[in-house]
Amino acid sequence: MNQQPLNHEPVIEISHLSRRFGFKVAVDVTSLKVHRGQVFGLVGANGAGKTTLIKHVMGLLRAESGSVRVFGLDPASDPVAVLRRIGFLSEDRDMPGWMRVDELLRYTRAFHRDWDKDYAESLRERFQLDPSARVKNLSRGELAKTGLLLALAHRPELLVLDEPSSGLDPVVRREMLEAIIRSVADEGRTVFFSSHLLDEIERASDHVAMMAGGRVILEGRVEEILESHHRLTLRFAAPLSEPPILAGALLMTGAGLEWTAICNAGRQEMESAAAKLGGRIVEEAAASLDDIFLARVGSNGSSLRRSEKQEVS
Amino acid sequence: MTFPLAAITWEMGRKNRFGFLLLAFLLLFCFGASQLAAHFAEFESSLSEDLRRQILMSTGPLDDLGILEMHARTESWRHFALVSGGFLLGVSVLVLFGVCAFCESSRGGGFTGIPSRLFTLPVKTLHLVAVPILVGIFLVVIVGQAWSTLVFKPILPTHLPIPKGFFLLLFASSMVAFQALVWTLPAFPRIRATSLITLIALVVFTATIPFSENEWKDLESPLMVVWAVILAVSPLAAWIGVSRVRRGEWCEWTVLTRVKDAISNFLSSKRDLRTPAAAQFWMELRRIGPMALGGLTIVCLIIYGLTAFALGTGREPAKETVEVAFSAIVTFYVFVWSPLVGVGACGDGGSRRLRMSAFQATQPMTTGDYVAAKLKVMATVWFVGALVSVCAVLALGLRLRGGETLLSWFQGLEGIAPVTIAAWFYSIHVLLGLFPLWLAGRVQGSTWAFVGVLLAYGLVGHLIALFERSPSLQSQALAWIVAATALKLGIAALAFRENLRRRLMGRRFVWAVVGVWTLGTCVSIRIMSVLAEQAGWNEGLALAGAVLLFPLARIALAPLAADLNRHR
Repeated sequence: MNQQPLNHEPVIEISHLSRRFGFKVAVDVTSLKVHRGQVFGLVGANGAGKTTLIKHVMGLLRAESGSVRVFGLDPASDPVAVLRRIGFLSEDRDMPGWMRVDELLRYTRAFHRDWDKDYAESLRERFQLDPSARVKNLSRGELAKTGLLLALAHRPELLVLDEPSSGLDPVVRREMLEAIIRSVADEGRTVFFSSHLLDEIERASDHVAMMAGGRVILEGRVEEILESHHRLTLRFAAPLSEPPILAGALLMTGAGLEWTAICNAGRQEMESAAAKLGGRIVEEAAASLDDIFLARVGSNGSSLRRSEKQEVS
Repeated sequence: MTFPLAAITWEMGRKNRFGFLLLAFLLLFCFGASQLAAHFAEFESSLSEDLRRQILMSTGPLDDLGILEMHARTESWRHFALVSGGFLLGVSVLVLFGVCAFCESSRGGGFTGIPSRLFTLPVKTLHLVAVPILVGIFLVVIVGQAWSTLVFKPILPTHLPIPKGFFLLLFASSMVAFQALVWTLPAFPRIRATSLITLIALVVFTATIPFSENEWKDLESPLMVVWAVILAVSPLAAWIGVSRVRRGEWCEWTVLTRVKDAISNFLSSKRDLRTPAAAQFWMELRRIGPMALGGLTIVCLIIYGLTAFALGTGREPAKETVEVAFSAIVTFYVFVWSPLVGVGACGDGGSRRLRMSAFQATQPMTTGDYVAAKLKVMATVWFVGALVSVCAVLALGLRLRGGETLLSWFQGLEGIAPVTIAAWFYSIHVLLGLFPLWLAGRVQGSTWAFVGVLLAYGLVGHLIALFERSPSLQSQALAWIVAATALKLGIAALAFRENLRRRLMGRRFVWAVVGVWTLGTCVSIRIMSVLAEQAGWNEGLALAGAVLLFPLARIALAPLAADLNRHR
């Protein structure tokens, strides 16, 4: 039954997946594909559906409708074949508190034929984890490191990390987590991770999907997304009491004469649209992923947008 | 009352609203049964009065057959109301303890004491402790009073005076002692669990004393004093303990932790765990084994100590004292320890809750291996537990008879061997309990799981009692048993087929389970045959019923249930 997928097949393929918890739509994803060798970042506000989506990928949740395929297999129906090839760090870091770190390693090793003992030991030393420490006595950062160690030590084909940076200090995050993610990707393996830290996603991943309200609202290569969005500063002849409505502008912030627009339209179009309202572009800059996320999530009518509007008015 | 106190009270009520609903439902159910029993008794007495008048006046036909029927019905209802009332009162007190425990599950599993989030609020420790204690005492007194007045008063025989004041004191004191233990020892879960089990054993033991007239006369005053002292001291202990916990002084007991680590280092094997099944077995055994067996040993030691003390005072005949201790060990083993081990073994390795954690669910292992590891651990711990309790019984025998042979002592206690074997056999049934339901992880928390199993077995007990009392049902008994057996085997066959289809387990697992079931059923038939001979039961019915005793369908359903838990 362990069918080996063809090389051009995506490692993760999600199609028309939806899941409700009561009346709340937790996930409603039409299509999402993650290919071999990609570092795929999933970004969204709290409650956007990132963890629910990851749980479907790991087979922890069975798809109510639609399908989830990992290595061409259904992770809920064929968990052993799928999970052997995945390294997973859960958001909850729910490892058995009563075990010691060395016991936890010994326990987890039994499940993975490809466990690299030397690599595990080198990671343990690098993370400065005491083998005799009980898991329940570890700090949140140490828990994250322990989880990461368990996820990496069998050199999985797919690394799934749910909020890996949660609990890690900025130095560890930059120098360790991101380095590990890059080195995994350089070996041709795949990384699928979620984060609410946009700068981290921007630095570490080459593909990104933005989620809001359970849906993927934007997906693509990070470079392409950054190139297609701009941050423009507009100056108007007369002060405006409300944000001007310009075609192509995703978010307008500012007050009076000067307004800043995050847009995915070309400069020409924005210039002519602003001119109609008596305005002109005074500054143009590249939009960051942070700007784009705020603009996109806001354009979906979230609370973020409303608070922005209130501030502006 | 200031606002923080009202907020704490509100939180207790809001969090436990379903618990209160359950309490009300149980009370209403038993009130209804009690009223029906009282109604029949009244009707029977009016019939008797009519009959007496007819005899005196010598007029009309004498309808004594009707009175006999009415008497049988009245007795049947009274018995039902008394048994269900007693059992459900126990369940209600257990629920009330859960409601008033005022603790939350922690990240690392198990339960904290008073939720630490409350320690960051500007509220005095005294208030944090006093509110749940007062609410607990108030509720336990109200519930005790309500049950006594509404349920037991109409049905209890008039010649059996129940010391209501003593029971209210016992309930209130045990509630406060329970709260004090739960709140002051969150950092030492094993010590806390052992202390709680000891407390429950003491409460149950004390609660039986008023029903023995001779003992009660001698012990009434000392017991009242002891429990009054516990009621007075426990709030103080709780306050001091919670204050220290709040200041972070009892987060760890360094010496104890070092000793514990040294022991676990000494005992832990450094060998590699070669297969996922071996790793899972090791994990489950480490998680449940030491605590379950340690707790059982401590309870046996306490019972042994109390028995030795009773033998020393020489108040009761030695044989009777040892029989009481023997019953206490067997009752604890069968009705408390076995279901607790069953529920505990079904918990998650990481979180100890019944819901499977992501850590456990994402291990590349078949669901069948996961269930098999749990079953093996349950069987191992159950077997070692049986040895521990046998040793305790043997020790009691040695204490009693000194140099004389144990065999003659056992021979003196008529029928004790088959009853013991039957009890241990029955404990397997209770150990499995609601195995598939627990593994499905849909029950929130072990307390509810335990209450569930108590209710289920209470219902089964009632059905059996109803069966014994109704001649019309007895005539159809064989048909019912055959139907139940067919249902059980049918469910097992379908579940095994579905498991194999979904590849949750292999054929070896199926053959192993069926083999063990066949062996177990043969043993249960043999035991039932002996018991039927001794008790004069209908042998055909007893043997047919024995086929139902050893679990099969529950084991067959277990991987499907665990799969539901793993892939929600």
